[in-house]
Amino acid sequence: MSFSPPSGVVCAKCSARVETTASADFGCLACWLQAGLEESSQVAAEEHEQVPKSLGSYFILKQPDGSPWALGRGAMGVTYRAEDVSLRRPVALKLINADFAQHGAGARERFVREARAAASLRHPNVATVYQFGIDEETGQCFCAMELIEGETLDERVPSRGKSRPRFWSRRSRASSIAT
Amino acid sequence: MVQAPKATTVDDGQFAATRWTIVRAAGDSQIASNHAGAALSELCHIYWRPLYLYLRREGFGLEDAQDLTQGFFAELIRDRSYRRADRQKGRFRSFLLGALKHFVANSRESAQRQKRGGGLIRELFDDRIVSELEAQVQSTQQWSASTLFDREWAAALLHQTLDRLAQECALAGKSPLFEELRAHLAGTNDEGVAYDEISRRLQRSAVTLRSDMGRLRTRYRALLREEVRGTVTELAEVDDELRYLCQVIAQS
Repeated sequence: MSFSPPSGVVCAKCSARVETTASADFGCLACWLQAGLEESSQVAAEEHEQVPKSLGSYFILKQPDGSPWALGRGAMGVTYRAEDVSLRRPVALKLINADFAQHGAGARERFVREARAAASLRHPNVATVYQFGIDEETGQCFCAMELIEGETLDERVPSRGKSRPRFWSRRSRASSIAT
Repeated sequence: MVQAPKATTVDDGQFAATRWTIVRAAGDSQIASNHAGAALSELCHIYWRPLYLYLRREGFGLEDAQDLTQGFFAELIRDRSYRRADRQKGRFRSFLLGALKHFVANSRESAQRQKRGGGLIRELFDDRIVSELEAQVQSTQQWSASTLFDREWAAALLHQTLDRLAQECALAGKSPLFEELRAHLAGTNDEGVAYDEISRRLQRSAVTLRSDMGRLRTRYRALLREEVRGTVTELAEVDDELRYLCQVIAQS
């Protein structure tokens, strides 16, 4: 689908010059960038509104600024720091995107397979899967896992030196044993 | 395995600091050569256009600009000059352009502008791409080399952002929806959006489409900010970087 305006025209909205080029057939570059700048707090607020406060007995914890405490995000969903209020223990709660849950049957099945595969692993170096579930009201899929406190992988992996190959060698061996 | 990060903010850059991470990964002397090559290749594919166009506007000929662009990325690995790059001191955009200038100056001094890069991005310079880029160089003669670089950098950010959004939509089985709404994602209202026509084409109600649009716009903005976050040091710099790029585009 092409939506390139004629080369050299001026954007009716922001008056920036619109240049149709081989690598930038977006229309007005400034308007595309401005969208990321405008209402940056509103963007966060809109995303936050879409995050449920709780799923079953799992309550998603908040940051000091009131935003949901996200630990990581990927194409399929976001993982939050949460608390199992029944057992009073911290958990990592992975939520599959609402779009997947409602419309993406294939992606949803992938999420289930991933959760089952993770649940089948037992090893000190593998986070335990506590529960996989679907919220009946919203169809939201979630997976509660053991929350490992500590460094991120990026922080943990030696950035240089001879210890780096050794680090990966040990982790690979641990993973192969677990599986 | 899920690791709880030390940081206390949601968007602290640990997921978005990919550009610096790539450079660091490529610079690790202990890393396997194919891994370093893959990291380098990713950098090339994202940023070779801004750098190439900068060189062309600076007056380098077609072949020289191609050789220098390829040689620059190869040198980035070989010379390990990125080891001197301090993520705490700057934006990735400035680092890459500064490193290119340094590389070009050294190449001029030593007159060693031989072909380098080992075919790293040679395949990108096919006839069609080269002629498109030449048309771009010709149609933007009013812009300085740095302006052309900044505009193309902004375009690279948008490419990355829209590619990621397209992949997410594909995973959710919503590629047709994305293609229909893509042109309107930068908008802030629904003016000009032919919901009724799209509704007929996709067999999806106009009400649902409006909701889809809202979600996609929100996600687009979040992804764009993540992409920019990956090229700056502090979260607070995201707005500044976006404002800078908007300003460059508005004034050019």
